Amino acid sequence: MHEEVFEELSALEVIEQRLRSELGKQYVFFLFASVFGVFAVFTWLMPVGGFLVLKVAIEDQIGSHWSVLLLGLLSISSIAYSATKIYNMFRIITMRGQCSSSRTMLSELLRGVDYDAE
Amino acid sequence: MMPNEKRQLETKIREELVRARALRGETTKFLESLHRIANILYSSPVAVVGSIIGGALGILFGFWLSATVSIFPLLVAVPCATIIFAGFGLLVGKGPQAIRLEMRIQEAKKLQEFLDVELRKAKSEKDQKRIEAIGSEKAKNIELLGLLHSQKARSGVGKTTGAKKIEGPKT
Repeated sequence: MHEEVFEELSALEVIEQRLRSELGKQYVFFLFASVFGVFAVFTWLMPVGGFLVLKVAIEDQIGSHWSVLLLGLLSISSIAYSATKIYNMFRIITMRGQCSSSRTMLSELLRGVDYDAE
Repeated sequence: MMPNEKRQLETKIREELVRARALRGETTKFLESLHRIANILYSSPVAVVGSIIGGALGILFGFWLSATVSIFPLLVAVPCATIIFAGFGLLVGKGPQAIRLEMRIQEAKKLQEFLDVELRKAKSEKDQKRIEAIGSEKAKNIELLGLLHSQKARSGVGKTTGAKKIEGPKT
């Protein structure tokens, strides 16, 4: 049984490392999408200062209707993308926590068996 | 420790092991689903070329757009246009292939399930061998399992660490 538990502990550790690296990736993509989304939303819905100038410039180039459509699509898709990244990060954090607690539990139980053997 | 307590402790460990293995399986599946499309999209020469061309077009478009903007032109217009164009380049380059591969993977899974059911039904060893032969021939013909395995190997997900198969608690 010791061998099985050790194998499981190392497997859980590997999974935790993978989750950690995946969390980093998801975070980078989330930052990227959210910064882009903020620009798109501000230009689309709250055009003041530089955003207004940018909106006017886009409208000049492609027309008012197309600019509203384009900015709307960009805003919605980047918000949706950011939301999926948040959901993924939440799941990864939850799973990492579960893996960690499972590892702790197994180690403690194994320590109990070892203590008895001594 | 009394024998009774020892048995209880062992049962607890077995239960925890089963739970940990189930959790590991679920996590691996989740990671696999995250990696699948991303890997197809980012690991191909077509996608790289598409995104480079898209990026270059995006920079040009950004400069053209920024020529009419007086406030932070380069900071906003150029990066935004580059990202959009490069993203389109990626999608156009690899999107259809990603969808096709995903469909093949689903087909492979269905084939595997079908074969599992048939193998379970098989009564003699001869039957089993026949079904396995049919299955491998089918998989070879449509290159399904090969694709599935290569894709899994590339993503680095689903690798086992030598852990044994899941077993329920022994009573």
